[in-house]
Amino acid sequence: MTYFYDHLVVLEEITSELDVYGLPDDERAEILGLVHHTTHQHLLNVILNHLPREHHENFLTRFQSAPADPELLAFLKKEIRSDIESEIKIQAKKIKAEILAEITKSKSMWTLSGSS
Amino acid sequence: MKHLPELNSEKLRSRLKLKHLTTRTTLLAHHPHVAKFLASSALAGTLLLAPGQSTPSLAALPSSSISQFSPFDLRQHLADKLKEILPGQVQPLTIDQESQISQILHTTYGIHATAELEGNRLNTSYGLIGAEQHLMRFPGDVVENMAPGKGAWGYVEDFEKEKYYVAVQTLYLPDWTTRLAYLRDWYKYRKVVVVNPANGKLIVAVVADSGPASWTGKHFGGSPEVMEYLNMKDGKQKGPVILFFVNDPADQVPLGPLEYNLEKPLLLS
Repeated sequence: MTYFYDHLVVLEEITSELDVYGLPDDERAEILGLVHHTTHQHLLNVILNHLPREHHENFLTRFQSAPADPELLAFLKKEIRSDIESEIKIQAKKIKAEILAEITKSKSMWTLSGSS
Repeated sequence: MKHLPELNSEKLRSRLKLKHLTTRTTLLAHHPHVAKFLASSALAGTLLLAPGQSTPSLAALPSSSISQFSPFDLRQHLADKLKEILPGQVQPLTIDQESQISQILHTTYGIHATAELEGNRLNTSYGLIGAEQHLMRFPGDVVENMAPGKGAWGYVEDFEKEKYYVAVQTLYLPDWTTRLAYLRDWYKYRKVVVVNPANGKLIVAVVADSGPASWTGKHFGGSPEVMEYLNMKDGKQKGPVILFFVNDPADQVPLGPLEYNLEKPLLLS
């Protein structure tokens, strides 16, 4: 599924990092699914934190029917006083860094004997 | 001999599942109407809840998330972290600084607090707080150190709210006059968290008065109980604090000092 803010969210670094390890397809798909869901939940929270409560229903209705509609970003920019586009970018980078940190914490070192 | 990293995919999956659960819990704690709204939508399975799942409760967090830290540990941790983020002098924070502080408050105390809530924010979230007097709770109310008149929202009938209240400078909000009816209601008894960055002490209070005047050089006011808990009774009665809104639509966060993590209860020893 694509979302109206996908162009502000760059997750390729996570994909590249995972692909170093040659995970089986099903494991890779499951992990990437968790990454995407976590990212989008976080960003939805950020958006709703900034959007005045009286616009939530309208926004969610439109988001539900057409999640990739670019007009949604225009709507947010109109109704939110702060720079929501920058905030989405900042928060996407932040969650990406946190997920990359989780990958780092899940690494273990092993020794390849006989290699130089 | 060469050392190569290996990915423990099982460990990573567990860590990501916990993170996924945490973000979902945060989203639904902040905006419970989202779950209800999207329950029947196509987004339910992909964005929020798998089919058949209900809204997660905080108690559903894994046992590994249970905290074993003492109140002293929590305060020390918060003070150390805030030292790394806050500017040298009291001034409005950047969005990034505010965001980092929200994150730390959540991880340390399990509280969802932000500088901006539902599109509303004060002129500063990091400022000087001064001591206020008690507010009248009913006509004829008399206690020591009582303000001469009613608070900005009249008598504070709830004793607990009067005990733990703050004054914020609503009058200086840029849209206060144009959105008076809405903002007056929005700020009335709005739950906030006040943090003394010097000692990591944190107290939950409500907005029950407007002020102080800008010429005082202060940005917030605190009830006698708030100031005492924050250790701001050093004679100057003025010091830097962080003041964030508490996102608590279900009204579950208790007023008063917070000395444990709301989402990770302390283990009984």
